[in-house]
Amino acid sequence: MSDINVEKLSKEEAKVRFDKIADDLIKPMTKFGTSFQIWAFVLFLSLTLFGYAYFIQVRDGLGVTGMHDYAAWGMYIANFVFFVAIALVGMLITAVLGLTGIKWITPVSRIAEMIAVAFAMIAGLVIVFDMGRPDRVLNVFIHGRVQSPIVWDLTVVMTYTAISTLLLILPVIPDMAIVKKRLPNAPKWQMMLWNILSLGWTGTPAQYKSIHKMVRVLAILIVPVAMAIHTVTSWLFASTLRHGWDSTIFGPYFVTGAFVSGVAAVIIAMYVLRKSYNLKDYLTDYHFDKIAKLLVLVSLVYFYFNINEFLVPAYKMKSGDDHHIMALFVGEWAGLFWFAQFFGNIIPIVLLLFKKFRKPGPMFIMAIGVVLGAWAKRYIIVLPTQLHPHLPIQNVPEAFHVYHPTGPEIAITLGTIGMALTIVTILAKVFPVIPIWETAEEAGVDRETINN
Amino acid sequence: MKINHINKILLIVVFVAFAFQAKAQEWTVPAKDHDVICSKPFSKTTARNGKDLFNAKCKSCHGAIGTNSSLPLNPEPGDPAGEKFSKQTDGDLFYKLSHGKGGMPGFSSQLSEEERWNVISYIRTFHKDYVPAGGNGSDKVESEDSFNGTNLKILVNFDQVNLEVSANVQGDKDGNTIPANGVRVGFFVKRNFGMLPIGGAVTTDANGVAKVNFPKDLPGDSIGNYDIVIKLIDEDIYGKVEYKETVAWGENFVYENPLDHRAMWGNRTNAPIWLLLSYFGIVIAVWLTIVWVVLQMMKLKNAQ
Repeated sequence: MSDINVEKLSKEEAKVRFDKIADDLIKPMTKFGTSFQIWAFVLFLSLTLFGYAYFIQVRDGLGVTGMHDYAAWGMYIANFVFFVAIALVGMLITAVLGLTGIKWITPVSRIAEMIAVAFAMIAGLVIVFDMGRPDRVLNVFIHGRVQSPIVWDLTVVMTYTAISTLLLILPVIPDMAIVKKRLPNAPKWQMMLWNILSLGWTGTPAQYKSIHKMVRVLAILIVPVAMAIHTVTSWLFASTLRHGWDSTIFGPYFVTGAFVSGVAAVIIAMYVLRKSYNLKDYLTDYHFDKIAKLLVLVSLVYFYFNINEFLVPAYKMKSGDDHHIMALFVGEWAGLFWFAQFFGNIIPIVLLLFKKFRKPGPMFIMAIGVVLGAWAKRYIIVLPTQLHPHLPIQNVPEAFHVYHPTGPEIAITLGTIGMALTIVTILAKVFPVIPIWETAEEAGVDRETINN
Repeated sequence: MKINHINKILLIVVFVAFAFQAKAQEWTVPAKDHDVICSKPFSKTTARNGKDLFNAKCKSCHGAIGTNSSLPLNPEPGDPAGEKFSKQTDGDLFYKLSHGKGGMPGFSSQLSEEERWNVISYIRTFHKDYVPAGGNGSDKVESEDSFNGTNLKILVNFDQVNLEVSANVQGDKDGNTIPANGVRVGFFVKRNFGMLPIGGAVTTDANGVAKVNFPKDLPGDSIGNYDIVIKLIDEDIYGKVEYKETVAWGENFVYENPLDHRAMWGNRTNAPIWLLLSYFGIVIAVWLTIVWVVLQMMKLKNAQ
């Protein structure tokens, strides 16, 4: 960021400008107002509910879920795919846009990275919650076959979480040094955390050089890892012969779908933080306008993949595929399918072409629609295929013909979303959600002022 | 409403008419075929041969004979043990079996004349009041050429060049051991699941010999061995008489377990090399980079 040409500020002007930025961005970290308390209570409630439901599931086994012989992957796996999808946005913003030198991402990148870390972490846990015997999770490593996409999936989920965490922490280092100095009365544990995470930052040129180098290396590294994480997730399905999963474009189809839902998740977070943290001067209409255009771009790519994914088999109507396609288009899954297509894809493309919709309010509502649509989309990717097996479902209990998630299953799923949001909420309280030092640098404040 | 009723009545009438028509359909046999009889007398031997054929060709529609379990077709095939069959002459049965009609296929192209008569011979064993036309023997006795001695045994000769097996069956009769004539011998090769019959049942000649040529391309074990089993088919008469021998006539066949070599479907110790290299190569490279970054972070404090 040092090579930006900005007007030369005097020492005093720089100090005043930096103080305002630092205060604006640090103040929300120390405030715990009524709305935050209500939010925290909602999160607490979801975690409590989760704890109870998960206790029942571990005690009684997976029989308490709606899963059975045919629908052996239910809401949990759909939720897992959704989590991985949301997590992918970290790579899109930090790496793809960051490496290409796009400037408007400065206040957005850390929000995206927080979402990525939170959702990637919980994605790994969601798989464990899908196990009837979670104590056997290590068997995947002890007895796992390198040939199995499930082993690849666990590997990339962990790797992506690690890199995302580093990409979140690295740019935080200079901010930690700033926060430490400006909040001398913070609780002791927070002081310690900031102390550790500031890693002795003093703002020397060598430190700047080192941190930029590390970020650049990781930003490059995370691109293939992120592509891998969602491609491998798609291979869990596409490496079978089943109707609706047996598709050659599942990898890119999943990756582009992930970008759509991830960008929408960032828009929601931007809107909420802008409101609750009072960041109107930092997350401006300009930023919303930019990310709206990004959403249109990724949605158009996703739309293109959807046409390929559905129109090609629908044109051929191979036996077996025909059942699947008809069930999605006009059958028992049509409601969810068209909800996902319209709210998750078509509506944002059409509406965001108009300038008046590229404003925080309308975008927030649209983004919620996109995220809900994205969740529904994962659900209809995972389930209908299993209920349309190659051999007819016969001589089984009536209940095996359908899949209905049960109470504990829904509570656990909501609980995982609560967990991810809890992590985002905590991160947004211990770290400034917008990088102070980068924002100040872009505002023309010199490094000496920033680090004093 | 009225029209509806009329329709229903019409429908019923049509159905009943068809049913009667089916029943009324007579299967007339030309006069010249009516009195035809088998040139050889029926015997236990012919009936036994007929039984095998019946089970292979006729049972699927006519059901297990004597159990009234024929298929509910129209017209009904019927159980050959029943009156519908016992009242017909040998000639009628032979004509119908040969030519067929409607759902009943003609067997003249599938079964030889002798085989067709054997089937009829078998059916006749279920007809209590059957009197052989022209007094041409009895199905209650073994045919003249059927051996009725005891203590049968099989001596076997292997022609290693032509892969010919000749079974010499001998038995005791009137205190002497003599060649057993007219005994059915089966030749089998032992396979993983069950026995592979070679050449069908062969009846011994006047010298008590039955011969079969074995194919040259049978798969054997890894050195081309397989087990031959030769036995008398009519165990109910002669008891279990069997001869076993291992011969080296087969082709070498080495079973390759697909799990024994490296493949995507193999177990974890048999993962393909390229996959191991790719997987661990990528994982190690990526994690070394991560470790490098963490080490750089540790050194950040002293970066100059």
